[in-house]
Amino acid sequence: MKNYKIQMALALVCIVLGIMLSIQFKTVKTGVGPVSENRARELASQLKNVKTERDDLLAIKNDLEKKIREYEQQASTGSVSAKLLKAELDNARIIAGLEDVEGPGIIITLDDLMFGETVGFPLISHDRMLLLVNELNAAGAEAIAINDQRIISTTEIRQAGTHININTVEFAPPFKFKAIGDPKTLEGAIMMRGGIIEDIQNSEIAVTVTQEKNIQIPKYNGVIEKKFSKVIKEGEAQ
Amino acid sequence: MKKKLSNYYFLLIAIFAGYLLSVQVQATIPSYQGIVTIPKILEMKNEIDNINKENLNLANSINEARLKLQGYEESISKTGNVFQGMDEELALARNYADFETLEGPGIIITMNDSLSEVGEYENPDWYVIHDGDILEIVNELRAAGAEAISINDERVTATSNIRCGGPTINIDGKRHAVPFVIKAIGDPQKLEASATAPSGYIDLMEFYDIRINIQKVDKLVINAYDGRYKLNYQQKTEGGE
Amino acid sequence: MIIPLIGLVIGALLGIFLPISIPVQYSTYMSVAILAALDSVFGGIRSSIEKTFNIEIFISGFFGNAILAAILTYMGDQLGVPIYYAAIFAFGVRLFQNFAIIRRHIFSSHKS
Repeated sequence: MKNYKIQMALALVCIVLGIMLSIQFKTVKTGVGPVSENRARELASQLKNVKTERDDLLAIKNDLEKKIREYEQQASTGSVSAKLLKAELDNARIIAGLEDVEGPGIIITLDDLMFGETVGFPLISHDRMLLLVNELNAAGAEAIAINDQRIISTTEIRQAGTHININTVEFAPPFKFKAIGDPKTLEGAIMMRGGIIEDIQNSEIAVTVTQEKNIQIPKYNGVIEKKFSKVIKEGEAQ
Repeated sequence: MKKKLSNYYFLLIAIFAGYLLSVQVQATIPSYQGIVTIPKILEMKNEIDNINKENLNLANSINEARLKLQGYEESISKTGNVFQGMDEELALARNYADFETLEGPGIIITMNDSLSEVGEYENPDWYVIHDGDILEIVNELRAAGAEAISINDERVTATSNIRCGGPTINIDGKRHAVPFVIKAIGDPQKLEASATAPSGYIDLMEFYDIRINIQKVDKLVINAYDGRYKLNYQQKTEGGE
Repeated sequence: MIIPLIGLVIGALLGIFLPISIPVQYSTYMSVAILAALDSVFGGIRSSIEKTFNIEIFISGFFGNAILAAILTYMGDQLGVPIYYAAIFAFGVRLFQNFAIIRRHIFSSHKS
């Protein structure tokens, strides 16, 4: 009788153990894949490969862009109209976010101090970031980047679990906002009482705001798609 | 006798162990530093995915740069200078900077504040449209691949700001009254799907009876941004390449 | 010893076919809990052979160890100390020890 009881206790515990084992098996198999030294080595070498690929691609891209610039530079040393054309082109590219730019402005860092990663809840949500960008724009920001992703007119800031996607690239906190504009106006607008920064601080997010004399913001790195839209000139039939 | 037998066992096991040791030493496998854990694997996987996406983007922009260069070279061979190519470039850059009027298929979203009575214990705030709502909708449209967006015919650019509360909306400081009309050019199917997705933002707003109408159209026109270049503080970073 | 084995199979099947899953980032805690549970099961088998088995101690050990191991791992994550290795080490050592003792008991009972 005693033996039977022992067996039942062991069986009960084994049922629980079995459930745990199979759930874990399922999770690891679907979410992670094999966790072995072999796999780690494979992933590490894969990582190295894609990184060198990225470096190669960047080198090619820079090379091509340099050539393009040389052509433009050459052209602009000629007539006045050529100079004007070149200046106009530069300006349009700056506005479109296709040039690296620099100027005075502010840097804002939002850090959730690992809250999102450990608790699995996005403390810094995308709507807060949208509001902050909106607020900076209202204060006359001319160029904004978040974690060096340039905000252009088609940039989305979207929640993806505890991460945020910006220009389809995934980011985790901390988030570093760079904005070029009048530093005083920018800081004043967001730091005002009852303003966006106070609201963010109230939800236990660590915020630092600094005014800078010179901030560098990189250009947009992707491709702007205009597949559906067509330019129509004024006066053309609509 | 018994002792002898165990000695043979020892010998066998020792030979086997020695064999394994020498194989392992000779293999000179590039070792992975540290203990392999699930978080480490996950992190590496994520990083690889991210860099792959970046590489795809880079490859696309390389293609674009090649086309550009080709255009310049053609322009030189035809007219002896790159002006024509630069003109085309300028048109493209102005388009990207939202300074061109665009036409194409897309959707039109019309919104009106709620007409329904505010209940006794309800907040009247729930029944009006806020800036966050508009920002959220614009964001969703961008994520669904919108190529151009306007609100009450004001072009939404990278530096637009939207303020909204109750019956009026301010876009870049210009005031408009209800109804709010958001136009977006892009794949109408995709745009509509993102706007009407269950648990989507518009779905949530309909819950509070804010009157929303979504219309797919084959052809709509979105005005160019009519402001000026914002170039008071920023300037091109020179050199450094 | 056949009833516990049947239990293990039933549990495994339940886990596979029931739509329960845990987020990937928690799988580390689960793996430590599994190790703790395995340790308890081996301990249980050993004590049942030695006739010192006590149901209360066994059940509380099973759940207690698993939960404590998971909590320690979580705390280690917060503090940046990989306490998780300590749990793996402790349970691992005990597991092999218990297995060695079980082997001895089985072979000595066969001989006698």
